[in-house]
Amino acid sequence: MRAALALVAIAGGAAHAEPTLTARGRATVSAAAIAEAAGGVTATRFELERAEVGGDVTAGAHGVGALTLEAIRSAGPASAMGIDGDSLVVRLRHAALGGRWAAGATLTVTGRLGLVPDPWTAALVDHPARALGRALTEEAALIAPSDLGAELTLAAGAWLRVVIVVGNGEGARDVERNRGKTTSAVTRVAWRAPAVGELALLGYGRDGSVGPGAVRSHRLGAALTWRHARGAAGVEVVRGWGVDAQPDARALAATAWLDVPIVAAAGVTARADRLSLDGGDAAVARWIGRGAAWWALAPGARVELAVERDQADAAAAPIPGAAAATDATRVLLRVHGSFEDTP
Amino acid sequence: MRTRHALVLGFVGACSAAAVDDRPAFVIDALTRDNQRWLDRDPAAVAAKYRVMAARRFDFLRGSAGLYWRDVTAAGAGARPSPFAAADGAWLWIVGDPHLENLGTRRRADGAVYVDWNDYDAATRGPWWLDGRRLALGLALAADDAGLPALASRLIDVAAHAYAGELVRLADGGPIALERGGAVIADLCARAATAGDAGARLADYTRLDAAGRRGMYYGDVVPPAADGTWIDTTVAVTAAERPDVDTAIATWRRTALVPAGALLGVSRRLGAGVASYPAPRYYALLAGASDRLDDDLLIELKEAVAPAGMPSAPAAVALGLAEGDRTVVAERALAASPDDDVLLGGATVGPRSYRVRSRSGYERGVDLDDLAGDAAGLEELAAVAGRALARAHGRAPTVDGTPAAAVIAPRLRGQADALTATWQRDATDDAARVSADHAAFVDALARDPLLGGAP
Repeated sequence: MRAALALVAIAGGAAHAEPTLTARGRATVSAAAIAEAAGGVTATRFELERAEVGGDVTAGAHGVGALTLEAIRSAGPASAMGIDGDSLVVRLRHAALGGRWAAGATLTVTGRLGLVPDPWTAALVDHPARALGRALTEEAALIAPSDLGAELTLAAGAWLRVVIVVGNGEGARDVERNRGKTTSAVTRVAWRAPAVGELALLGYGRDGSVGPGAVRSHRLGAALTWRHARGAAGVEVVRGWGVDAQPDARALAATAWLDVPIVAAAGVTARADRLSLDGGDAAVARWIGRGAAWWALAPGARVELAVERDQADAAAAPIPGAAAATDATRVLLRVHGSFEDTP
Repeated sequence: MRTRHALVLGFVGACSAAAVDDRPAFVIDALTRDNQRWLDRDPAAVAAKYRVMAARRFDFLRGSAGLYWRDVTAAGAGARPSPFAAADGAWLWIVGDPHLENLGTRRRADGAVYVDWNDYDAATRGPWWLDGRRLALGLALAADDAGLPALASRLIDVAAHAYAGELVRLADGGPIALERGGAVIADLCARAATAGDAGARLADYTRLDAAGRRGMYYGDVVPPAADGTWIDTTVAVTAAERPDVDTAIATWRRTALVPAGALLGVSRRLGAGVASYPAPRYYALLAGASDRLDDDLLIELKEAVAPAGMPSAPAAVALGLAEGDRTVVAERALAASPDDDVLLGGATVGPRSYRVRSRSGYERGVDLDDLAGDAAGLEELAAVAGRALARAHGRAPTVDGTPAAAVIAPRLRGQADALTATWQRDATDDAARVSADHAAFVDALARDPLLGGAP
């Protein structure tokens, strides 16, 4: 809340000093009715999968700020024990302030400090695949969506973007718990042509540690994305060393997605996720396949009928020897909307 | 420009992680996560818990159940398929932390005192074969700590055969039997009956004032250890805590099986348990049914927290209960005689959830220190533990409501020797890992009494 007030104060102060105050607001909501068959039973439920609201402000010649709030369930996955029971609560996802400087016609340098977005998650956040659920890397806790730290972005027009973040490495949940800082870097190179659309190649690296035991938390990733009026597609691969406080665990998360409009306001989308975790003597691996038919309610807003299959490898299950115990098939009726505007 | 570049690179380099890539780092991190809520509230209590865990390997086992569950699932250090693993047995009710010191006496309504599991803090839905594996690990460490390392294999053999035999018997329609026989068990039950009849807990934790009214006692029931670790002490509940405790008691009244009398006093108990040593634990004195002083009741409210490190169940089979309620539902599902404690109930107030149960001299826990060097006594307890675990698993309902014995027994029929071999193989590896972890933990504790997890 303090961050929100500070953002408003700076934006307001700058508005008096400079007439060039611009703001851009965003809101994203995903809600679903779910029928799930798992563990020998079928159950139905409603979920608010994602609810975020936020925006960016540019104040004066150099001031920039960003704030995003998100709604999350306060209870753990198997528990009703949260804040005031199992409430939905609102928390900060990002809150950062800083400055932007232009060097020449195309080069800009932006620095921000605060609860800054993870550069990898942020680089892929607005892709259509996100309509089918959170990123695998976030879902599997390989990458926290934000961290307390400093962010430096260098952008050369629309074709090159380099983001470096130095942070605590503990995400938004914890304060710093060891002496090491976590450094993440993302490079995005894009090429645009009218016939092809936009092709982008992204690279990601992180050198980090978590917890009082200073457990390593290193990541290396790459993605290739394509956007065009006729569709969008992409692949993303992230390799992790040190996962969930297990220093010897190695993870491989891979995602491929495809989104194709069939007619102007309707289409199909699909996503395949593969997560494997190798702990030295043991391993876990699972596939998640998702497919949906969608109908556009408005620009940025869809209703989807989706099917998901979450399946562990027989030889590498979360409960060793009982792969089917964690398998699940879901049918979802989902509404997803992402709105962005400048007042 | 070159200087600036060097400065940026230097800053990034200086900030890079100094990671420690070894097992002790994982142990420290897992224990810190599992104790985080208490580290934030009461770091001195967590330091005392760590001291207790350092003093005896079996207490390290008791205080690190979350470490065990991380190790034996997913890509944990001890994860390996069991020949008894199957999807239909993965989400049955389990005790979660079945070790010998979680056995204790209980009293049935007809006055019979018997032995069963007395701690359901970690009980949840999970794989039954990994619950058994934890029992086997505890038996291996108990034998070692009792100075009888060669006995470990025998204890596991006895427990596995007792488990398999009891489950098959239950599946075949055999009745639930209560554990009352054997020299060690009979003695424990006799001592509990004597203490209960004498009103032992009331005598320990309450006092009569000059006017003959009963009130709470604040002081040492057993003095603290030389290093300041509480053993059995009660203190007054602070003004800040009292409103929540009163609300919890009022909430609990709606969940107990019988109405209870007026609240006469409350104290906070210090020094109980190992895993739950830092958890707030309150004793409340309630007026009995008559004006007599000897029928007043003592109940315990203990904070319940989510079992750590357990595999995540799909949403369709997840419990979705507040933690206090989970322990209550678990006890009613798993206990051999589930309605013995008519005061058992749950209460949730703000961010804390409590398990509430009666406290009397009839409840007496197993203490392995009493069995040092006693091979016959340990063997008797191993058999009781095996049967008690089988009863708990077999009696509890599956997700669709039928007794789980029908799911587990087909895998065990004629397989007692195979179960023994599996438990022995796993316990050997698990005990070696726990021993190494304990040594590393003691070493880390010497450097920092909170393992670096201080807020």
